[in-house]
Amino acid sequence: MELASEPTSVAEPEVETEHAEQFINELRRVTEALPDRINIDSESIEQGLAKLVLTLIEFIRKLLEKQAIRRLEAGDLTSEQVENLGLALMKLEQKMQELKGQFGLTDEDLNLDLGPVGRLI
Amino acid sequence: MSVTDKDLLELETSELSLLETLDHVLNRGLVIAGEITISVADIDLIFVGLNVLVGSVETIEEVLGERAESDVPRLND
Amino acid sequence: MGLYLYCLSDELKAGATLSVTGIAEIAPRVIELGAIKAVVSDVQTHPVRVTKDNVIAHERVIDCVMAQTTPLPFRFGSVVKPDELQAYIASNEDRLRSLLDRVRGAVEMSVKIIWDREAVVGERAKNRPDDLVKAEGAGPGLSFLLAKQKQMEGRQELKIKAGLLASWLDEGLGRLVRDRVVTINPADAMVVRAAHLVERGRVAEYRERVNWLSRERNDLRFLTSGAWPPYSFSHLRS
Repeated sequence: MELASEPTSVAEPEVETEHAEQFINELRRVTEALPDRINIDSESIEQGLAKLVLTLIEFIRKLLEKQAIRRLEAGDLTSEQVENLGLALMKLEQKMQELKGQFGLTDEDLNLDLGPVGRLI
Repeated sequence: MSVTDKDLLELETSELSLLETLDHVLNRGLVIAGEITISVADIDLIFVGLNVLVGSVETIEEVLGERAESDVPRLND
Repeated sequence: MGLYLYCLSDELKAGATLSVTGIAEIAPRVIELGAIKAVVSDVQTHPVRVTKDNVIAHERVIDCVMAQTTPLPFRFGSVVKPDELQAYIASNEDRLRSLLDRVRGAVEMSVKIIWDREAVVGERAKNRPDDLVKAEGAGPGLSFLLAKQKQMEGRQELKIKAGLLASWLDEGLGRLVRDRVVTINPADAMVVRAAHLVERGRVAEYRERVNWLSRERNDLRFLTSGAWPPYSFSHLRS
């Protein structure tokens, strides 16, 4: 039996797949989503902060949507309350779309990896 | 296989190889120096060099009880 | 001017040279900091840019070390002053040594899986009995919530299936894998990304097992890569 620590020659890592194109597309997306180095000039700082703030708001917004659905399913709201809640969340979503547009940010841009909580979108 | 097909295959292979390498070397491995941790609303912002990564999700989950809902077997960590 | 960091090991000899060049074609060298040795090279520029040449150089140096022993690789782009490296190792020595023990004699292998999300959610929609959709007289607010509900149920389905897929892979590999770091992204096409710590002598067996497993699932696309230095198993925060 070989000793676990006995070195075997290890060449350059090999990549095996029968679907190279699909993996290339997916890996490109992942690589491009990595946080960029922050440049220290005012426009980039503003952009960086906008991204951070909008990401946090999106996170909260999605949690609010989840809460609303739970209450809808629990049946402890009147139809008027449900309707108002839905309208408010709908408007919030619209507003966020506008803000994202203003800063030129897509859903992908805001999709920070939060580890175990997972990606937002 | 025509010459063109072979060239394309090589290009594809080397691009995939590079992407896989990037996936390993850019986001993982030992991280040293220049780490400053700032807490904003229970979320740790970790500045590594000049990168900003959002980490330390435990506090978010505790506060919002997300994990309790999930019955998915968790394999990371 | 600084030190570019490639990796750490407790099995290299200080003063040894490697047969490959590193960043900017500069030869790397091994320096000693107590029980732990570091593979470094001198660099003029900081930051070291993410270019194809630099990334390949970084990996090439660590692959060269991998031929002799399994080190803990640094993330790409780590440039420090010598005293910073010293301080880092001194203050993390125990944890670094235990990480080195954990990866000893093993390599990192990667499996990535792409699935068809439409197909996964489609199954559920087909099996679903009639909805909770209160069609008539639903105002815009309620309609919005109902649409979100449907979306969330779809996502939940994806989450569960993704978890099951990751478990299937893990169970299929069993004891071929010493340790694993698995990322699950149910909303993505690339749903599972697994890093596996595999004994050097069992890599061929591992590859074969992954191939065998992949043949069981024609609905999925697999990518296997390796052997890598243990990037996924080199983190100080536990």
